[in-house]
Amino acid sequence: MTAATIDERAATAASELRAALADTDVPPLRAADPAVDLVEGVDGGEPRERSGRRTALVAVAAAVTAFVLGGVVLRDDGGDGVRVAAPEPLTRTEWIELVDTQCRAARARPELPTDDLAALVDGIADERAFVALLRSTSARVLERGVPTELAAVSAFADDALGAIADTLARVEAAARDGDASRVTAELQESDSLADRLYLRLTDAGALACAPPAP
Amino acid sequence: MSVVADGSEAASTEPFEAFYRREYRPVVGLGYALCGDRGAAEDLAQDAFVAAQLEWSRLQAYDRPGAWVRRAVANRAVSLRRRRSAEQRALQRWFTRRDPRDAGDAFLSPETDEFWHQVRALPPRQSQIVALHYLDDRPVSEIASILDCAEGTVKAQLHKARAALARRLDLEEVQG
Repeated sequence: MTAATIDERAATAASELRAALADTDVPPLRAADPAVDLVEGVDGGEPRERSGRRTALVAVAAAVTAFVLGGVVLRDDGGDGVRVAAPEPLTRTEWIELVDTQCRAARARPELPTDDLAALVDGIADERAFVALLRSTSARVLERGVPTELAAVSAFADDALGAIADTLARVEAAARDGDASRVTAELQESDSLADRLYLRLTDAGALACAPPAP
Repeated sequence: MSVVADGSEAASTEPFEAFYRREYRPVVGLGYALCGDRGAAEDLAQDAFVAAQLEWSRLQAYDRPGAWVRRAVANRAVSLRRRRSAEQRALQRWFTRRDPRDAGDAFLSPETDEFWHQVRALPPRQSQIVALHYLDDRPVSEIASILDCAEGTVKAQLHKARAALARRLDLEEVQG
């Protein structure tokens, strides 16, 4: 490579990167915000409803994870699994960064197939397993102990996850019954619970973090 | 300086859908060049296009709405790099399994991967300028407009970046 110039090398690198992306599918533009349930299809279609619930749930996972990172170090393993590591507090900046990273990953997850109740049953089973995992994580955190000022928040999180699990069970039952309107109503309830839990945990998580590094 | 002012694109009356489909891949490429993660680059592009869609009634009157999206991606990519550096430091306190370098993407050759890795190792402004110059084929005036800085700044930073890259990659620095 010593004979090459920087321009030649840059041109090659640019060309290769452009070529590598040339066959990339252009995905549909996602909703502007996980909380926004309407998105205009980029294919020129009418605005369509989207369930933000899966993203809301995973945002909750991010918040749960980040929340406990403040006192008991915990991180997800890149999938739905969560594991515990040695206790060490995060700085507030690090905490925010982790939440942001995980929420971004969450938004990339597929939406539940709400227009196909049979497929939704399978999707919901996955969601229920996910929430169960979060609850067991939360329980493990509580067993290890959390700072006093966060104990109430931890209890709130456990209650909220329980309520979400109950809602998901009702969604699954409604889907099995083929009752689309009940599915929609229960999903909205689940969204609402997830949103509230997310907000509460993100507020609380900051309290648990170590002061910013100088 | 504004992305409205001196662009080469014609004032856009195209629907957002067409704009998105035309610009998506190059914008992802810019994001990748600056953050080193294809998934994250796609995410950055989505973020920028979502923002553009919300502002489309205003942006489509711009000479170069693509420049607006590029500025958003260039800035967000740099922010992402900073965040990931901090995250990396945090994670390394617990785990040693992560390579401190980029994970790398198998879709590029090692030489190309190394080139973009070195671009990302430049100071943020220089990496943005290099990506826009080489990958996006943008002239200095447009880069200055996209990054909202003076043309002289672009020229000076591009010169420094080229010299640094030539040194790090053992290449000749020939003025182009």
